[in-house]
Amino acid sequence: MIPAAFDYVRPASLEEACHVLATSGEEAKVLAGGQSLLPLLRLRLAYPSVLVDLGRLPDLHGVQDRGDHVFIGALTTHDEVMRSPVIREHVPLVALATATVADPAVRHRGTFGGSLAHADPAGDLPAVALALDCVFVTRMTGGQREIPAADFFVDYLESALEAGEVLVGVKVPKLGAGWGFHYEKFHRTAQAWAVVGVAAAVRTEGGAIAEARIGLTNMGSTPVRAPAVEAALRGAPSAAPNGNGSSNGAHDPVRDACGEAADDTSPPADLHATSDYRRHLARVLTYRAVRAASA
Amino acid sequence: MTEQIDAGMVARRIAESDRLGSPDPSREIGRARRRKEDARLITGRTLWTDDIQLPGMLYVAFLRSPMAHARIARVDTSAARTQPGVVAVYSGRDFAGEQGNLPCAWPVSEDIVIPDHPPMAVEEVRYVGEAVACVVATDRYKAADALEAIEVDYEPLEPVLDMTEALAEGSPKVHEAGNRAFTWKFSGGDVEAAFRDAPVLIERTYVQQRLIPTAMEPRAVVATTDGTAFTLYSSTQIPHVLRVMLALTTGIPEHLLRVVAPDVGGGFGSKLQVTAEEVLCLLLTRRIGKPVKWTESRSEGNLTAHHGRDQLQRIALAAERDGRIRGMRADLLADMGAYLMLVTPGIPILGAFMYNGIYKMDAYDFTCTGVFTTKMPTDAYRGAGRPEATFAIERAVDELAHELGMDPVELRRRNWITHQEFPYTTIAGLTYDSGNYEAATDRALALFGYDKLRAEQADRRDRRDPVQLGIGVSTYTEMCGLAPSRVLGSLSYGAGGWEHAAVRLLPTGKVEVVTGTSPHGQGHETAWSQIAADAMGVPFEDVSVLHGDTTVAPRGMDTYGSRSLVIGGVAVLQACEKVKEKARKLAAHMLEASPEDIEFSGGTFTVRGTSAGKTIQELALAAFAAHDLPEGFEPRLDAEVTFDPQNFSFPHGTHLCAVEVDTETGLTKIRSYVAVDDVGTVVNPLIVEGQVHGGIAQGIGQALFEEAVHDAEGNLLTTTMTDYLIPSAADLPEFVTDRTETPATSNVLGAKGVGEAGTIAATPAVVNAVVDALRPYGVRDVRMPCSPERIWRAIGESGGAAAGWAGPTESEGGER
Amino acid sequence: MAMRFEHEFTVPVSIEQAWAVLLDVERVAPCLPGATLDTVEGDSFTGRMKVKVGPITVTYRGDASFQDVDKDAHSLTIKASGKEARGSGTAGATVAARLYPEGSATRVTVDTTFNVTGRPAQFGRGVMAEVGAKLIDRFAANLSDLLGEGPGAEPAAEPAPPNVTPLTPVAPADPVQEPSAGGAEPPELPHPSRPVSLTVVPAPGEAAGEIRDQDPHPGGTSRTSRTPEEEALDLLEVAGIPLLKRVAPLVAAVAAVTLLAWLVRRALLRRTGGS
Repeated sequence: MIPAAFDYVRPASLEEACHVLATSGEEAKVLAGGQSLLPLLRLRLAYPSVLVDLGRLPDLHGVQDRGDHVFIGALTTHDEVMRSPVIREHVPLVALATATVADPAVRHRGTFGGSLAHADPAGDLPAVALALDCVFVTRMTGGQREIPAADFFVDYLESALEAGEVLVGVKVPKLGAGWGFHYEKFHRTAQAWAVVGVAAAVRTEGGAIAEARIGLTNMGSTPVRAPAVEAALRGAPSAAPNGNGSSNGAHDPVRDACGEAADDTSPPADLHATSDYRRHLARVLTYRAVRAASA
Repeated sequence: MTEQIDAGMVARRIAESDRLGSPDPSREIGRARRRKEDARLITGRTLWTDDIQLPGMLYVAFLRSPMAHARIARVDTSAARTQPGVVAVYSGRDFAGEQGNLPCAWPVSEDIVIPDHPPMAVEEVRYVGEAVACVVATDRYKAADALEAIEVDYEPLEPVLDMTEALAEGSPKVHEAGNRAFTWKFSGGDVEAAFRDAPVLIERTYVQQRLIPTAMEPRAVVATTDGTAFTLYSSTQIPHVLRVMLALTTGIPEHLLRVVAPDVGGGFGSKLQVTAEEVLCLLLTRRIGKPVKWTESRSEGNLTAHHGRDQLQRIALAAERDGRIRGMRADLLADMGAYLMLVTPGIPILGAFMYNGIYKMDAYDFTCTGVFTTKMPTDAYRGAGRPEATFAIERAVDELAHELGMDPVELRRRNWITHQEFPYTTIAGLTYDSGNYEAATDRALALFGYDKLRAEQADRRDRRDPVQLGIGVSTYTEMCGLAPSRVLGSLSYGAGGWEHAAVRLLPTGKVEVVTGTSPHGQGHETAWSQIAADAMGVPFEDVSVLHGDTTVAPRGMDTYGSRSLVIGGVAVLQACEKVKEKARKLAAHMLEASPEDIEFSGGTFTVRGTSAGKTIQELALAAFAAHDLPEGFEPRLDAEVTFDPQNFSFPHGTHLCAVEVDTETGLTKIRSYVAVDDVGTVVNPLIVEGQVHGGIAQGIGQALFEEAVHDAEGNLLTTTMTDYLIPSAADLPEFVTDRTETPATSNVLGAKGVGEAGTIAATPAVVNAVVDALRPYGVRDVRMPCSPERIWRAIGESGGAAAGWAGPTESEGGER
Repeated sequence: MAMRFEHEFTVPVSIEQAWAVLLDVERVAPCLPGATLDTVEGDSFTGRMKVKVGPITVTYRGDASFQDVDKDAHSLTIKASGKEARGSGTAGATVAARLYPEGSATRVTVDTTFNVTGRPAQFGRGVMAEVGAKLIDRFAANLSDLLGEGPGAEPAAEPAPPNVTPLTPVAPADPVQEPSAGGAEPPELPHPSRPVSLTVVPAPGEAAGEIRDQDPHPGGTSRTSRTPEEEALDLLEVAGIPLLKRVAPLVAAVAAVTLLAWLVRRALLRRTGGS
């Protein structure tokens, strides 16, 4: 399809970007890779009057090791994220999930911040950000704020960003020793969106799960945590009863815990899955993710 | 997803393709040549239709119905006409006296209902996407903008979406004449007797879901006129058929209409059509006097390029306890969509002769009812009728094997035509000229490791492994090389099936081949060059192939139905032979010998028993100079041939598929896939390999991924590739391919055709494998595409919850 | 795609007061988020409506009218139809509202059918199902507030601020969840009672067979029948934790538990033939 006309602005500084966004009203949209926005423009489902292209703002780009956390600039591409040694070493869950995003072409254009700000519950990164308790660093004219992930994803395709507010980057806390990670994505073709995805971070101690964080992709209007599973996993033996993690055999407390993965969720129904199938997948995939993360 | 395609794999494939090379390096036929057209196709140095720019060109955009069924109460184009850059805006009414009806060239029965099909709707719209108005503007952005200013008032009518309901009493009607387009019957043998007291009876209903062909290049049209004559460029498979049909439809005299198919990026049948957009672009250039261009977007194409398949198949097999098949019944409903397009009604009929597959049986009965619905019309899609037939018989044979507790390969052996029995006239009346099902099957079983996989399957079943292994067999044949004109005529098809070729020896000894086939990705330039190079004794590089332009290649029947090599390639070969006969006369004259004493070898004519000779290049120049020619010899070495075979060709093969089904999630992973095809004589093994790979991928697409889905109001929901899932290389295993070769007897090349084979064979192989994996759960069918959720539900509904995680019944049962 | 929603709520005003407000289109129309009334002539009116979800924006222009106004039964139907301001798609809605006296209060049922065509409907990912559900939920919520005010009050407030999301209907074709036991704080309920999406029910013409067939089908499909227990559990679910989370900022705390019990009982009564 062919987009409707729009103005295009490529600010030279973050200040200018904030200013343009603040003065252009709600019809202004940020272009930060465009892998989700451009299809909407082409289908004429979005009619922004101004596109503010952040592509040339160096401040928003790159990955920094900041001691207790890793800072990922909003415009860092998925490809850069999944290849970053800092991310792979300190916050590997981010790299694991990013490697499952779409295909190489999309990953070279699409950006970490763009994907998060789009707030698509079917996106792979929002659930990861939620599971890791990331903090979103934003700027606006005359100010900045930090938004915890739990407050950032407001609704379907809606983030907490206000008009005139730009996502600068994301602080990803390092979880330290003893943690294992896994992102379990279920999709129908390699390039397809997640039907359901599970981001798991598990800390084991003395043969038991000491702490777990579970984020779910595409199980509601926003990414969601699975607090019931997190609570139930605490203290469960980290090794599978028959030793190989397969689903056969003896009673498995981890399996029981993961059976609560779909509690309090309202997963969507669409062409690729009904809601109850998504609930089922959430349980199965959470189990697999936890097993893989604690292996 | 990790990086799925590594350089090493590519290198291995290329090495393998070199291994496929001809055993005889002096011969071009059989050589795995890289395709000579590819460099320009993949480096952007060709002109696709959308690349064509003409002075003063205007751009067309179509306003499309958002309703599946509605009366058009009012179309107001006045506001759109005042938009910047807009040259003209028309509704269907503005062309009502001029646009005629889109043609249907295959009225399959006497009682067929062929409704009016105006290119732009005038009174009523009958599917979402039907054109109701168009804008002509100075660029495509302005054209798209102006569409938004057209006001249309619709009075909604009831959509008609389900074929069975459409035929029921009191259903809303798609057309005044009702929803039944035709009923077509065919039978052989005494069906009643075959089914009477049959010891084993298998009855199944299969759904051939609606598919979207999804060629890589979207459709595009450019039309222009000099005030007298017209040229239409179109991304089409059928420039020749299109020219005739457009002349008949628009009244533009055929001799003043040139149709050009430039390089075309795939079709799969979807460009075997006379489209509304082609007709309207021609009419628009006639009315406005300037060149116009229209290029569809992907989502526009998903809506309005014709769809494929969409049949409901009720199948019955009667058999003896020992597995011998007595007879078969096939009763189809075929969804025509809202109108009958070029060959819409003929598609299911093409399958009518293939439901018996490769098997001997005493009786066969076929009934097909074409049904109108308020959806995009269906028409040819890779295989066109034959994949549906093959799916039905191959699925049903597997069900019979299960019923009898017999190995599915063994059951096939008991029923198939043995190689000693060829030529064999089937119960459907076709004479299969050649084949060797035993050889292809044995080869496939060996490559597949059949026995070992069966052992692993048994082990996984014993262990109640959550990942179950399934093995699927598909032994297919198809009727290709469409076709003998006489037979097509007897089936009420509106045209013949011959093909034309011209071969010209140029003064410098180079060869021009003009073909009536119209390649759109198949590599004809390479394969035809190989045929001509061998026949004429010239280097491969010295041959060029011209096609796709009715001025350059005025005669042809175009490319579809795996016919190009079998008919068109043979025509090239025969034309070469004719040129050589002329050259022989000239050589005899120049060498002062009798033509009977002239021998031809390696491009040189020699007098038998002497070293005196003339190369074909020398003869070419001599003919051009014309200084000393035999009496009555025209000064040119060229020839034309129109070839019309006596019979179809019948490629066959055995495909084996092993799948791993995760019973906890329902996800199917193809573990291994072996295809052994017999396509007769192979001109270029690399091209055959490419066709087989692409065909299998598309067949797997139908089995596991693809489906055009409408909602209850008739909106197509799969308008983007987010929702219409097409497998990529990352979703497919490496295919193991091999060939057996029993040449066709219906043409001098011995070729049988390969364009559709993979698609026909793969779908039942994969679904048979999926069902085989699920047999322990009592599952006997999974509707296509076998999505993870369908498989998960099939397990749950069978009551056989997977080991470990419960299926849907158990886990959700307490809450229902 | 068609979607159907049922809402039910109770307002603490008399049926005559509520009825008077319901007939006042200039006050009812703004209950629909994004709607603007342009003209009112008798029972017919024209207006615009802007639907916005993240970057997706669709604006409709159209008209609507009161039909089947039955002042004795206290029921009316609003039929609305519109076209995309840019684009060829259409949207239509039929809202059937009926009032029932409940002592000094009034019980309101709102049955909404919502149909969308054109590009917004041509997606499998169910954008419009998502939008439609939220839209109608918020409409019902606002209407509840409005009717609760009684005649003479100011027009309905602007749509809720962005951090307060509308109620989400129970997803279609879903088993009902057990209310989570323990750990949850006693739910607070608004006053007047917030409307709850009882179900998303299949629109007429949507074959139950498709559901039996267990095909994933985009928004709008649903179960065909439910037991009173299920209904009640839905109420618990919607009126419970998620509701609390979402509407808490808006409402004054009330004696929630008793009201909740009352709601459940009402639903049971209704389903077992109580009304």
